[in-house]
Amino acid sequence: MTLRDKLDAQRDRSAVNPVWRATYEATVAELRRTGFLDQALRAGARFPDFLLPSAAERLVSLGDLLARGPLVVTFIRGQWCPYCALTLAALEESLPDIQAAGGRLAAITPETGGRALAVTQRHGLHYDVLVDVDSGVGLSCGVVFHVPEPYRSSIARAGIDLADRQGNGGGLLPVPAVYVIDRAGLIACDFMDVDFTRRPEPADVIEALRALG
Amino acid sequence: MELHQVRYFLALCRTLNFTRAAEACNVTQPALTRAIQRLEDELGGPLLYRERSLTQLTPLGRSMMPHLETMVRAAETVSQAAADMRRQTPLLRLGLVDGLSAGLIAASLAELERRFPGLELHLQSDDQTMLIESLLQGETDAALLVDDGNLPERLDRWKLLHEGCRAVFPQGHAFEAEPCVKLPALATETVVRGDGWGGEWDRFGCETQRLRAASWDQAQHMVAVGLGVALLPRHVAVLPGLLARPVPEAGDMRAVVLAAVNGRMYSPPLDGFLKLNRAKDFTAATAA
Repeated sequence: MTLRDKLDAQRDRSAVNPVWRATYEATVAELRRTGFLDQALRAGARFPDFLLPSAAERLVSLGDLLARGPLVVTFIRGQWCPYCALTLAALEESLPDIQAAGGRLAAITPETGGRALAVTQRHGLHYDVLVDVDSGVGLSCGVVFHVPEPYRSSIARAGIDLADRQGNGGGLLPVPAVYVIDRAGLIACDFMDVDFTRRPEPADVIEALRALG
Repeated sequence: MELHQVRYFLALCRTLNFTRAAEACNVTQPALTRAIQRLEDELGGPLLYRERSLTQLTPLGRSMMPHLETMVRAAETVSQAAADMRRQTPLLRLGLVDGLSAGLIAASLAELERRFPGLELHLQSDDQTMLIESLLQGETDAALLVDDGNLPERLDRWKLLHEGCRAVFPQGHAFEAEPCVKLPALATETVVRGDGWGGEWDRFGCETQRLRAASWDQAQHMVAVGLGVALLPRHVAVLPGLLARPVPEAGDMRAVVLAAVNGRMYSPPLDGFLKLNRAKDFTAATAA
């Protein structure tokens, strides 16, 4: 079963609820309308340097992660997002192949308060989950957006308090972009879709890594 | 949204003038205007009232400004890190409200030392009022304070943990035999009380009038010589020779927050300290 199959199955389950479905479709349509992805960092650009705390309570820089080879980095929306959970687990399964291709893997979450450690433990991850406190890296990459209505209310009704989870009242989420970054810090390849239920297949990410040689 | 759009918006907040904001950002005014329009489109409404002689923030603009400022600071701190570190010996001055154990932040200090070798690290303990004053005066960079509902607006604060209660008693006391202290067992005890704390224990039947102390330290010395027991927040360091057991039924004694003055640029070590501690879950430490 590919990641895509699992994501599709999850979306089908969620879409049984007509309110969820309408909200989801409106959100994706709104992000498409505002031309959101034209603004994000894409292949060829330099990935912004960072120094972020990890689930293991270390401060990790982009340079640390690129020290031995290229890097695959995925933005995730949070512990509460089932599509992110499926993606994190799929990437964990692919970790040996990513490493065999000479790459390293990291996830970036906007959630504070130990939630990076919680997802690491829950999915048994063997890669860094970094905390983008106040979404500075997400902003530098142009992948964060202000959550539009009615999605904002729908998240809140589900008991997901973004302000509490992220430790700020910005009301922002990242598009779950995946970047392949070469050793020099340049983005070699990007995968992004404003539809948060669509993520790249790990095999495609590994293919992009291998292309770096 | 893009970093440059947010920077342009913040320049507009400062100047309230499109021409001057464009100059400050080193872009043309049409480019700045376009960027602001895109940001407004994403945020779902105008951020500024554009009138011939007067530019003013809309309520949406006012409400978004502090959040966008915070994000830009988070984005910019790293890029300035290298330059700052070369210019001066990095210094980080941290405060802990009286009685709060430095054990809470010790792991983050070790990580900062690894990341910023040679970092000058100054710890201080003081009462809440003095620490707040010191933060506002720029003499302390960040502090762990108690959220008593009276923290000044100028302090950004992030909740870290709710501190439960521990009973502190001398060796040989009956409490020693149990993993935690139950309320009925407390009812027959004499509890040391202090200014602003401890008086509430009389609702559990404790004697709280006789022994009074002005600090956690004084209370514990009274306990050490057998005058009574003290009920202290979980992270108050216990004097050698004394023992402590949690009192789960007593609920939370105080909320500990991490605080720093808003609007100031963070040095890289301060940024690292705040991020490390905000990223972390302190509830495990609280339960221990």
